[in-house]
Amino acid sequence: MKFSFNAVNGSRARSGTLTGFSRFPDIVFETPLLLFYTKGGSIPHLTHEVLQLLTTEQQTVQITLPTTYHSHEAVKQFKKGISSFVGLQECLTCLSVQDPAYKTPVGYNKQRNVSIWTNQGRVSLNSSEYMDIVEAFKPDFYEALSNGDTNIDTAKKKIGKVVESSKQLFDGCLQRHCSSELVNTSGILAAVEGGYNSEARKKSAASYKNAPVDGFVINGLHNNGPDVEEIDFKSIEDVIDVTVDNLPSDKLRLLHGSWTPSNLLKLVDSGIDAFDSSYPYLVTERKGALVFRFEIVDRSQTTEESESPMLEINLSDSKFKEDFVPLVDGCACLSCTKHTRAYIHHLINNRELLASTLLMIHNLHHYIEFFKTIRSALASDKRVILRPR
Amino acid sequence: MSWKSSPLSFKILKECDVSKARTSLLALPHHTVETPVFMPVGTKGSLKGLLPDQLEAMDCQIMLGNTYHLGTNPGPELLEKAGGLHKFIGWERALLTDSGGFQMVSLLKFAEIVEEGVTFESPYDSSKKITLTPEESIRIQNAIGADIAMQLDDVVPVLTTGPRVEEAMNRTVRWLDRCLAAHKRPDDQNIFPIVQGGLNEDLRTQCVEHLTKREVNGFAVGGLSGGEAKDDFWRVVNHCSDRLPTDKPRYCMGVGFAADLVVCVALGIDMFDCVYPTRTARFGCGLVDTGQINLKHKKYAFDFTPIQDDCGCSTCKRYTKAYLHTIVTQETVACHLITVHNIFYQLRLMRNMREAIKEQRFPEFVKDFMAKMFASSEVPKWIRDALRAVNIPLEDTQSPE
Repeated sequence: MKFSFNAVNGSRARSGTLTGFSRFPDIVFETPLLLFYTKGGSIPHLTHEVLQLLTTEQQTVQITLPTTYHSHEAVKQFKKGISSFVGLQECLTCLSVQDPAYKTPVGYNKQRNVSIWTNQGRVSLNSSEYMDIVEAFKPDFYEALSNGDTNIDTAKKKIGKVVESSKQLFDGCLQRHCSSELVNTSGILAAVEGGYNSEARKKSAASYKNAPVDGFVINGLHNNGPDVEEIDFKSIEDVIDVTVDNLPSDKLRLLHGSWTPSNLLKLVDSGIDAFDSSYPYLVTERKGALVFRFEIVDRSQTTEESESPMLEINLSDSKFKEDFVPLVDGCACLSCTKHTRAYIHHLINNRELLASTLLMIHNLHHYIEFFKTIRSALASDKRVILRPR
Repeated sequence: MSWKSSPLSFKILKECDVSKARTSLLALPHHTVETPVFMPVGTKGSLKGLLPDQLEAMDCQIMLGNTYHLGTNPGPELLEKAGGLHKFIGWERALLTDSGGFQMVSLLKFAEIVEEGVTFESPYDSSKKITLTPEESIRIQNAIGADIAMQLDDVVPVLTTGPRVEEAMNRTVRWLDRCLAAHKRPDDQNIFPIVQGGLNEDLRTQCVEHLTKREVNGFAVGGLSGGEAKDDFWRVVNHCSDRLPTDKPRYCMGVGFAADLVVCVALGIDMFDCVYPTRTARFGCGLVDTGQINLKHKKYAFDFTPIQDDCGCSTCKRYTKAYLHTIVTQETVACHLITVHNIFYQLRLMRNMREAIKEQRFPEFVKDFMAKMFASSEVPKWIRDALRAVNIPLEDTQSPE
């Protein structure tokens, strides 16, 4: 796995590429990269057949360990790795330790053990047990096991423990990574911890100095789930900056979570290279459709972007009962070209599964387009802003 | 707007030389349907999570909607504003709607049948009585705009005996006339009458005689698949198909088990519907040539083969039983994948029957099918009897060649 980037003039943002994956030797993945959030190995509500109706472009999926842990014995025996097991072998695969869409309970990790919450309850893993699963899953790149159990309220003492814990877990994973013929060609990401404490962030970043990693996960800012949407960017701005400043510039930076579109744009401008799609998933789960508008502007342009743009509409609202128009006028997705708000409202009212499929198609499409626009803006030293509706 | 004077034309392509099976083209306003056909049930305007695009991709030609559900929600007024159910749900091929009566009787506790119609307590206000009349059923079905609408019929539980069965049969005929009189769109919608008469062959004969005197384009055999003995079931189907006109389509309501479909096609039935393939998918069951398998079962945890090896559906081409086992009843995707497979299974079975009839090898098809389906058990007596009645004796396959 190889990351290269171009700095964007007048910003910390970067426009980059990921290459050199052994399963995809000739394919270039562009950053800022969107990892498709999956549950149980599938994009929620979308079979591969439906995904093909949404996009035929090469995509990257995020395998979330809590939702796939129960399949690891089968995947191991299957031998071809998790991407083939779940029927998404054409997609680049990244394994994440936690599930960004659901809140991770606080206080269940130990120095050398991390808890994940599976559909069969809590499972505690050490780095050796975790690497057994990585060897079975054979992801194209993966996060080293990490602690991550901090947030804005975490006390300094616990932050210090989490920093040490993640470093120890990383060392265990790296040792196995280097000696494992099954995964030593996969990319490995180290988790930078430190909560909201600048000194701890510096210490965590420094602890990976010279480590042979392919990138970093910026961990420990939140405990996942819909609460991430509530985070005020001002509260994380400084800690993101200090973290990014203390990481080598030539490595990928991944940040999980259901960030709002405006925070996501700010995170891109802070130098984050990769995100997951838990946000469009959570919008789908609350029967919402993304409607936010965005456009490319010059960096010099001082147009004030909308402070509170309308992000989504809720299709369970009875005002859509007779609204025979697409979710978003002019949207090219299958849901918008073939179906109406009124039909989706009817499906929600009748608890039909197709409602979630149609919303997920639209929301993921909307988010893919958002990322395409961001990449295209960065490539020409421009930026993306949200527009009021 | 169309050159057709009737909203239905029925052209028999080939009749089986041995049995009563036939394969035909059923031209409807929205699609020309090849029969024998299985119609999956999209109760509330969606087929259990599948996109219309997916149904078209597997060549589903006609789908069923339920008038009771659609008439309650979203309601006929909204469907009219939407331009009919086809437009509302984005399905361009053929649709059939039931009358709503059967569902009322089976879903609502206090439904009662009187000459005026089916009366029931309003689900929103228990002090209010609502009556679904034949006229109201047709009004709703006209708003839905399906290619084929069904008459409101007087359905009695199939095991009922005595004068109530005869009353229901006669009332069904009277209600057909009221339905036909209330029909506002005879140029683009068909109304099919329903043969009633319980398990009484005389009443069935009388019913067919009455119904065939009316101007209709096809017929349904109703009141079956309600817990009667299979031996009674096939005899009634056979009895009715012997008496219904050969030049019009025959629809046997509520039949969907693979073996039943094969028997009924041999008995001369052209159209079927059933919730079974979609319902069983929601419980994690996939249809296979030997019946069905439950993917929740532990024995599939390490089974890296598809639900059925030679199946060409999008699920079997990509997903293994082992993977489905890990997500079944957990993720909606599992339900979608199994539903796709099950619908495909039914459609493929019907396509194989049509081809066998065209090539005059339907009896061989039936024998092969039954040998696979009952590989580990004896073919049930009722199936052997039914098939013998149409000159397909199964015993032959068991004798060594």
